[in-house]
Amino acid sequence: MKYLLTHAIEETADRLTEQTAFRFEKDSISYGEFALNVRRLANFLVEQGVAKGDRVGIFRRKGIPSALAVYGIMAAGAAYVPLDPMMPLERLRAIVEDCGIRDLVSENSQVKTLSDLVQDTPLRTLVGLEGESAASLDGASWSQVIDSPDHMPKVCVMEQDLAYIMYTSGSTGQPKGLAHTHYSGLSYATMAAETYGVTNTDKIANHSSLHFDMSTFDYFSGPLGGATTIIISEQCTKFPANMSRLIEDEGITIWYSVPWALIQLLQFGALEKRNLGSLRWVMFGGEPFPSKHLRDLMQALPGARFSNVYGPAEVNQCTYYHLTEPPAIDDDVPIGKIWANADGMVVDERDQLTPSGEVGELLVRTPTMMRGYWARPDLNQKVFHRSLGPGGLEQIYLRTGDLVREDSNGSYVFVGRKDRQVKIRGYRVELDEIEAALCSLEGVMEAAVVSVFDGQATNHVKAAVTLKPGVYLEQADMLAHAKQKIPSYAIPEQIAVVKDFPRTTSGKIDRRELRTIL
Amino acid sequence: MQTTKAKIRQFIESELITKSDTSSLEDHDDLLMSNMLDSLGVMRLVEYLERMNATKIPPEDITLENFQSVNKIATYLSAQVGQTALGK
Repeated sequence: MKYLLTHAIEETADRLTEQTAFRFEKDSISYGEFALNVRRLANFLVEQGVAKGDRVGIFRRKGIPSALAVYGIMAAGAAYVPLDPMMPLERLRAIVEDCGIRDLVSENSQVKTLSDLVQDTPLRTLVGLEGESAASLDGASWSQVIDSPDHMPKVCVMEQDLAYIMYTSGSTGQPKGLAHTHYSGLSYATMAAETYGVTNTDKIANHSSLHFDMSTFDYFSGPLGGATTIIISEQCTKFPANMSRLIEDEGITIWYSVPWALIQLLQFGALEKRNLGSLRWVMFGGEPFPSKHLRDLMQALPGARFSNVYGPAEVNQCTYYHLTEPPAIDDDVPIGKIWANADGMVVDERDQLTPSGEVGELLVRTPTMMRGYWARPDLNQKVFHRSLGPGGLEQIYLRTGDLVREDSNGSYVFVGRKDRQVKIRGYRVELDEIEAALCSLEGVMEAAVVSVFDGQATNHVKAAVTLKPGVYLEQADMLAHAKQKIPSYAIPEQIAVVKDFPRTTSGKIDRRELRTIL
Repeated sequence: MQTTKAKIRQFIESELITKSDTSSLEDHDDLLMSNMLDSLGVMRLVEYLERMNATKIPPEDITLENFQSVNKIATYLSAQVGQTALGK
């Protein structure tokens, strides 16, 4: 019986021992070898003192060792916590402390950051450090890991136990951890593998970073279906012409990314010079795909099917919309219907069902839902909607915060957000968090941050601040301060110093007006 | 007069570096492994180079190999200028 995410690896390794599980650049690993190394890493971690329920960080760039870390950590009974390798130190420290990470899988390129981190945060194990350049840290090399026993460690884990925690932007400035269980992760992996018909003939491109929730399709659904997952390096994802070459050379059959990456592929991928006929599914999600670009892309890749995937990271996925033909230029592509084995409803501000066709917040009940935000009872109180079902039994829905309406075909259409969360090239960004970061700078009196859509492909973050009397601050100083607090994709492209903000009659900052002048 | 490399370096340092890092940029530094540039940064750099040289960079040339370091970018640009001069 499969009830843990690690069971997918064990079962596929038995069934398809020689099949390639993961590929990264020139390296490949078979399912048989992968499962063996997963167990070795798990034993190594257990020997170091990692116990059931612990949180173990993955702080390195993508590669086969990252995939091993995902499964090795879970096989040790712990939850993996993917950490953006680009994250500023202050944010890294906040996350490490928030969920009490004591063990990390990392690599030599992070030695400088790790050396700073260990100054005031006690860490127990640092896996993946080798040689001279890492000599200052008490790390463990992969060759030590490989020497560990290769039987499955005896840890009693059940499906309700934590499997992974993914951190995302929090509106107060403190990142929040979405705690998923083996049950929610495996439910998602199973439903997605079924929906997109993942089999052992598939080659899945892993475009997303490990700390981005879309990666769960590549790392969970891929192995569940016995497919090969091709991990695309962070560097390669910046170069559409390299990505299109990789799709052709590797014979990628399933692509899943944010629309931004696909728009880049369309505009700079030299598609007319490539044969991308191997693609059978192109899945996109994270934010709306401007229909004029989607239309062009669908025409450029006539052999592939296209699917709009929707669902906040709290539930992985909850709807999909398969496009049967390119959308009309000004049409919004629907997010589709709630998928099988899930339930949704649209409610107004008083949590009453809205009449069909009217805008309201989408609430979903699904086995793919997270257990909750790590150590945040206040947020958990708000994000879950508890209603009584038949027999007075509780039914728990997730408040997505997304406003939707139902179209005439019964598909939901995304209309906007209830709060000030925006997507920047697919990344979730809380504008309040950026304002809090700017306000924390000595000399700043007030800050207002807005996102502006460029009419083409992406939102841009822009900021304005007022300064305390007698203070003079350069944009460069404010940017340097922001870079220590928030991830790179959330850094404002512009921070204007203004005498005062446009205000509403009640004196609040009028951000809509501000947007027009920035 | 500033050399091409100095101009590129200055543009990257002042406009694009995404991680807070006080150390200065060297011409041989790997711009991509160290994650100094993100995908939007690459596109902005391409726009800047196109403006600077008043030539279009074809999409198939915007690659990891050509944009790995300031040195690599300069080498690519001089080869491109050579090709344009030959009328290719």
